[in-house]
Amino acid sequence: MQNANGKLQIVKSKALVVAVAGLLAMGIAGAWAAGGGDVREKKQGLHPPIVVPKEGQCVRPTEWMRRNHMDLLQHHKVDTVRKGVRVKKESFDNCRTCHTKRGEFCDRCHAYAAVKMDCFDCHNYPK
Amino acid sequence: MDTDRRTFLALGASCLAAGMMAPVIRVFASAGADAQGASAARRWGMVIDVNKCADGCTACVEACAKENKSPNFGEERINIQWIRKAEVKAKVPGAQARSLPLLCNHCENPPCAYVCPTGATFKRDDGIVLVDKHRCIGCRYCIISCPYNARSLVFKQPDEVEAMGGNPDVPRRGKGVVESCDFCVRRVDAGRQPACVEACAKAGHRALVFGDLRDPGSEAARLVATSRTQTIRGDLGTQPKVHYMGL
Amino acid sequence: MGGIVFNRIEGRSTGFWALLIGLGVVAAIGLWAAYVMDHYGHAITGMNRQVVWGIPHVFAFFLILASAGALNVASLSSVFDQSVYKPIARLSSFLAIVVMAGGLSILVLDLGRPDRLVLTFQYFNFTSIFSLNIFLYTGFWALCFLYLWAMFEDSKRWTRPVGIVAFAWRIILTTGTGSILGFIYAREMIHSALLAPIFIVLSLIVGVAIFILVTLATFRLSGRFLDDRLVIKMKDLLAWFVMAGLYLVVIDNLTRLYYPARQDVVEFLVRSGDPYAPVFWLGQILLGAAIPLFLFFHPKTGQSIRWIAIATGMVIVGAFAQLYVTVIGFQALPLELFPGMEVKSTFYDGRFATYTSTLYEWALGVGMTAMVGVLYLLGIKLFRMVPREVRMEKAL
Repeated sequence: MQNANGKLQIVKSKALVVAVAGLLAMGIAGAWAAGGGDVREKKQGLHPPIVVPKEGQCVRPTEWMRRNHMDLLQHHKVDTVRKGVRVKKESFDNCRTCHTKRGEFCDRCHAYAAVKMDCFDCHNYPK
Repeated sequence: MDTDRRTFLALGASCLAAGMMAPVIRVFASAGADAQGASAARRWGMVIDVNKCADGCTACVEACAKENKSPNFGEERINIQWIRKAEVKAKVPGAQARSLPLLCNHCENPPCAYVCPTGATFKRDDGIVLVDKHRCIGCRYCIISCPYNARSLVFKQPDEVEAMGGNPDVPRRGKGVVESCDFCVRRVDAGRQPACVEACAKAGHRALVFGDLRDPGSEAARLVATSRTQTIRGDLGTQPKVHYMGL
Repeated sequence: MGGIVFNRIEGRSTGFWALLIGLGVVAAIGLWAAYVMDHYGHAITGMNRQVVWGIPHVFAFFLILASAGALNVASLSSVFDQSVYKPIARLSSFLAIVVMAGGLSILVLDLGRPDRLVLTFQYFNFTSIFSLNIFLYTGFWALCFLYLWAMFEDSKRWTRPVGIVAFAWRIILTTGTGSILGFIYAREMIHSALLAPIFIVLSLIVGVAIFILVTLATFRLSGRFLDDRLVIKMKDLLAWFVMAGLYLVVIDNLTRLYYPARQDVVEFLVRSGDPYAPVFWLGQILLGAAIPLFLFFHPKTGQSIRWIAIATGMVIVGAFAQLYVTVIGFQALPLELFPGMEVKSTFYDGRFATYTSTLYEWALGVGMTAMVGVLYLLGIKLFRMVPREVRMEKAL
């Protein structure tokens, strides 16, 4: 990436700074909007209220889980079923120690986002 | 102008790619080294002593149904039994019928896994043949190919209320997928014995012995090495890991 | 043969619309049946834990074979240089496309989890004939489209090479379809290297038979002229295929009959199987071969288009019967877990399974076949595929 054209380099780095700054700003704004408050029940911007009856920290940061829980579930699903790797703490069954009812947690958000899931056709999870 | 647009696109693409990679990296980094998973050094298998298997005793069948919440739809046509009792008799006058359990043989060359179009049925590293019910599309080709009549389609959705009871460790099943005996894989991974084996011992027969066939110290491996055992339809080359004594 | 004029059928008559709407309604009923089957699970079908592939699979096999066979006439025209078939080669390729669509939709809608179809494109298992067939079926489709395009362009450069590849492909495709069953060593009734050739010939039979009837109907109903001699020529072809099919089935079963351990399978097929033995004799042998062959070769009926059409219809029924016996019959036979022993259990061991098909399954099969009809009618209305007339220039 040596510069054949010095001007281009400048334009690039300028654009990079702007983009990074923009992303940072968005991240901070997002964190600020989502952060703080009581975990028991809260209305979070685009979310319908969800109920988490138990205080404490999830296996990943809340913000991360909100976006990526499906990847985590998918990854552990493959590892558990096909390789026999059983991480009890992060198992699907362990979710319900805090998120005791799927109706107040999974279903609410999924209904809102209109994302169909068929986990509970098979998996035990109290409604 | 052109350059600007290109830079913008390149930046956008890399941000997008990075954004998509991030969760993947985090997820994969999380797979802790605390869990080993199934080991290829093992070969789970079972030895069934037909002489010890009592006529009319169905302890293993009942224990299996309870452990795995096999739905009883009340119709023989669609009922599911991962293990069943059969009576085998020579076709000669006065022949004595022998009672024995039949289950998935967890073949070393499993025909079901060979024909499965999505790889939903597979042989785990330790030899247990499993159905990944998340991936099964319900084509039933494995049922057609199994020489042992060991697989079942879930013909309808089991009742939810009923399924929530019973063993909390085992998921109930969704309709439209295929299932079969999994050697109680959750128990095995936790270092326990399959439910049928436990029940048989509890009933005082000890006809079923479960263990690692590659571990010369295990009772199952010892029995296979020292007794006259045979497998069902060994002629097919499926190499079952359920061995029978006194057949 | 250069000056063939193709055009669209007019498709404005009451008859055309009645046919189109009628078939559409039947197709809608088929989709409804598929929905019901998916909603309640396969418990509402007649299938059971022994017979897990029922009537829908018979239809699916039937249409997939018919699709490959429908391409015969196009192959004859561009691969085997039988230029008399050129005027109807477009129809042949188009019919192959729509019939394949029907067969595959049945296969998909009959899955336990049709909503997970996408998984079959995400994960492949190359030891699975099903997995291989996904490539064969979709590839066949692509080839037929390319072939059709080449014929529309009237491009000599493309028609022949694409035609040759499509011909080779359809042979491999029918081999793959036959091997779905033929490779299953657990089942004595179908485990046979001859099952692939049997399916190839069956595809030649149903493909040509359906094509004869569809072509006749298309020309007659749209008031076009179709040379009788062309129909008679196709009939002769069909007669040879029927004889080849009969031969393969006989030798396959004689091989079993010679092997004492397999005699019970033949016994089941020709005598004890209920309803498989009667369907075998009355459907497969009598309707599917004996009567049509007599009609085809009889000097009077063999020259009459009406009788040829009737006999061709019988051949189709016979082929369906053959697939019924093959696809469902082997599942009704108990598996031999302990050869030479008597087995009894609460789980169908050692017992013949029964299968009573339900209306849902028939509705799905017939419905998707009707959908093929809808697609065909729309196709010949929208595209220039039917020649204005087919006159053979010289006597054969």
